[in-house]
Parts: sequence; structure tokens; C-alpha cells
Amino acid sequence: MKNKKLLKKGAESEIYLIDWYGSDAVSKIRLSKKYRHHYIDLALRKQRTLHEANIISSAKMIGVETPFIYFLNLNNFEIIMEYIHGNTLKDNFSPEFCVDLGKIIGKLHLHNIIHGDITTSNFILIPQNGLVVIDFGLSFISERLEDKAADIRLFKEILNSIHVEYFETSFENFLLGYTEIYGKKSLKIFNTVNEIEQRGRYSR
Amino acid sequence: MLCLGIESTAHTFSCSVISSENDVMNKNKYDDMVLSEVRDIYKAPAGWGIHPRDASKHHALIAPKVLKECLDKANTKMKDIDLISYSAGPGLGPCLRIGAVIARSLSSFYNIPLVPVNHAIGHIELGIKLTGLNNPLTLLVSGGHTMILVYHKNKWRVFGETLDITIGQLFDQIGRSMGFASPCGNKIEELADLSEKSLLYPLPYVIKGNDVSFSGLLTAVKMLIREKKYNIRDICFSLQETAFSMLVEAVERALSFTEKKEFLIVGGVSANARLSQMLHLACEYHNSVFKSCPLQFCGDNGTQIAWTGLQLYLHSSYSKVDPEKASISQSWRLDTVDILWR
Repeated sequence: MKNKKLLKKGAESEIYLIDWYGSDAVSKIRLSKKYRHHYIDLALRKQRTLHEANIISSAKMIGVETPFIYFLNLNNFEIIMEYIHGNTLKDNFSPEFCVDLGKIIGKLHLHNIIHGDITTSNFILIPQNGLVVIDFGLSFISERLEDKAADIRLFKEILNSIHVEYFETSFENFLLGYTEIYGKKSLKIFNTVNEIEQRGRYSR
Repeated sequence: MLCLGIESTAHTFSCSVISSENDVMNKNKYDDMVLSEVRDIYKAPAGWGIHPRDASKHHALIAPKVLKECLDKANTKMKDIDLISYSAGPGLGPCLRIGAVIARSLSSFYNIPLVPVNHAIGHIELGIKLTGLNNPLTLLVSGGHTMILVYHKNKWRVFGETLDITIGQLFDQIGRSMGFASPCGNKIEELADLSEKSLLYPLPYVIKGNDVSFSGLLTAVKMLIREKKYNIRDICFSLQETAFSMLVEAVERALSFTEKKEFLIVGGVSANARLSQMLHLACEYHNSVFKSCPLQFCGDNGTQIAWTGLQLYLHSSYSKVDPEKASISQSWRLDTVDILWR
């Protein structure tokens, strides 16, 4: 692990390209944040690293494309995993990919995995092979409709702010894909999404 | 061109006269643009919040005095004013109505064009004007708002926000349960500074993607206070550390996603030194410029209304309203306002 190359400075971690016994791998290290009290800092880094590694593996079991975990180093808050080649959905955004995205989230939700951070930069596009989910830092397990709805609302918010020119087709496609996997019960979740939005400040 | 701004969304009643000719500004020098600004703030009794009826009564009583003082300081007369803008929402209905009534009457009596302004847009636009930034990622934190905003395609878009109460409400409600009067941010900051800062009570930390939620934190802190066996300074310290960490993390996520190289914090809570310090550190890490709205314009003020009203009037022909149609809206989301001058 001599040659470390910084791939991305994320919000809570740094992503390095490293050599793992002869093949390319990614090292995701959660660094300490200077602005945070050390108590909060330690608790968050430890809990999220552990959670992420677990959930990446469980997602793989239910057939969602995620990177392979090679190694988990909790002392260093580090996950070493498969390197996925490709561009993020954010850089190559197009509404047609949202059907696939909807299917992936539908499948995760069907198995009570809440992604927690559905932004377009957390999906890598592989030509002819669909989307790979790369970041599960805020994920958790829950069967509550509220949590699933909050997850979808987050994606809606991103579409509405950054990809607003394609908002309508993108979100429709997403719901279409989601319903295809999740089934009839998805309607209840979509209603909860509206409910959450109504709860927001100044929305009437 | 002289523009009179009238602000009355919540506890502050304020008038301001600005001049568009003098808007070439040096750094740290607002005197050129702002000819005068007068504020009068409603003080709630200890342990109480802003009662809409009492606050509006206060506004109605002091309004003539504030307006007169403002015009005198600016060395101008009502008939020389070219434009009147007033805050039309979001805010407390009774308070908004006072400002609107005054704006309407002045407009129809002196025959001066009238422009309603979104209060939150006022915070952001004045902040950008005073800091000289171009297109920053903006955090609006006040009693009424907790939002992370990006400007994109003619509107301020919400990138992340609170799912329930705002950071200002959180501090006010906790402050009130300790017996202070709203707004309590100041008191909580003072108490937190007195803490030895070694003990941190574990409190709920809720972040959902780019959104935050403070309701669980509110309940947990209220329970700590009620038990009476914990040090109030340490509680305030823990509260600040936890709530601000959530906010800064949401901001960091937005900075990393949008890759903006400028960051601005506006609104009443931007007066908090600890929050600024934390955001500064986060911005340094992401190589972004950190700017904060100048302290004297953090809270609600008439200048933000006057400045935004002027921009609306100069760049959009739809912004002007007839006095009989000049209404208010208690829940007017800022992401519905068209920004045509950016």
C-alpha cells in the first residue's frame, strides 16, 4: 500500500486508489473532523464505518450491485473495497437512468435497507451493466414507511435543486422503476413522501 | 433612486432608506448605500416567546416613531422616496399586516410604487451584496429558516433543510424552558462558553442525507433540564456542539456535492461565534471561501427588504403591485421566488 492516489475528497471521508495484493482497490478512510467535538467525532466515524461495511455486503446478497469489501480496519476507520471504474450518475445524468435507480432503491427498501443518502454522486454508471451503488455511509435497517419515504424525498430534493431541468421525467421514471420492484404498497410510501413535505417549513 | 424598506416579519420592526446611486461599495463600508436604518425590537416577558398579538401591538405603537426617525436620519422626506418595499412573508400574520398596512397607506397617499419582498430572499441577497461574493452555497439559519441553498436557473434552490423545527426554534424553546425570553441564542452561547467543555452529554444526532431534524434533540435536552441534576452550562455546550455538528455536516455534504468554492452564512443564528468557527474549519478543508453576513445585518432589518425590493423593481416589471392588491403570505417559500438579476 505504498502508492496512494487521492481519488476524491468527500464530505466525511477521503477515497484513495491503492494496490491491494496486485489489483486496484479503493480505500475509504473516515478522517477526524477538526470542527467536531472528539466524542461526537469518534462515535460517528466508528458507527458509520461498521454500518457501511455491513450494509454493502447485505445489499450484495439481495442482488444489488455494490463493491466487494476486501478488508475492514476499524482502528483506522478504513474500508478497503473493490474499485469500480466508470463515471458517476451526477456527471452523466440523464432521466432514462432513473428507472434503474428506482428499481435499485425499490429492491433495497423491499429488504428494509434504507440508503439514507440517495444523491446522484453515489451511483456509478457502467455501460451495458447498469448502476453500482457505492456509498452506504448513512444507511440503516428499518421497515418504517416514514424512513423509506424520507429516503425518496431526499432524491426528489436533489432532482429539484441540481437536476431541475429534468425533474419531472426523472422523478416519474424513478417512481415507475420503484413500483415495478416494490409492488402496490409503494403507493403508501409515495403518500408519506407528500406528508413529509407538508410538514416542512412554510409549505402549504 | 431612494428606496424605503419596511420589515415586520416577527419581533423586529425596522425601516431603512437606501440609495441606488451610491451602491458602489468599499469593503466594510455600508454607509454609502444605507442612508439610515432604525430598528425597534419587541421584548417578550421572561420565559415567553413572541406572542403574535403583543408583537403586532408593539409594532403598531412604535411604527410612526421609527419611520420618522429613519427619514430624519436619511435627511429626506417621504415625498422624495421613489420606491417602497415591505416584507410580505413568511412570518407572523399579525406582525406582517402592520408592515403591509403602513406600506400600502404610504404608497397610495404619496403615489409611490410598491413592491412586496420575500423576507428570506432579503437575508440572502443582502448577505451576498455585503460580502461581495458571486454565487455562494448559502446557509440560512434563523428563527424561521434552516436551509442550505444553491442558486440555479433563476431560483434559489433548496439543497437541504430541516425536516421539522428550525435551529432558532430549537434554541428558543430550550431557552424558554430555562426561563429566558425569546430570542435565546445569545444566552445559550454565553452559558456554553462558561462550560468547562470536558463533558458532553450524548444527544440525538439526526441527519438524513442533506436534511437535518432537530425535534428529537429538543425533547432530549428538555428532559435533561427537567431532571435538574445536570449542569446547565454543560447542557448548553452539548446542545451547541451536537446541533452545529449536524448543520456543518449537512453543509459539508452540499459543498462536496456542488463543488462550490464560495460559502455564505446569513440569518440571525450566524451571529453565533462557535457555528462560524466550525463552518470556517469545514470550508478550509474543502478549499472554499468562508464569508459571514456582517454582524449588524445578521438579524432582521429593513435594509435587506429595501435592497431586495430595489432589485425586484429594477429587473422585473411584474414585481410592482397596486396598493389594494398588496397582500401578505404567512407561508411563502423562498424557492418559489423568481430571481431575475443574477
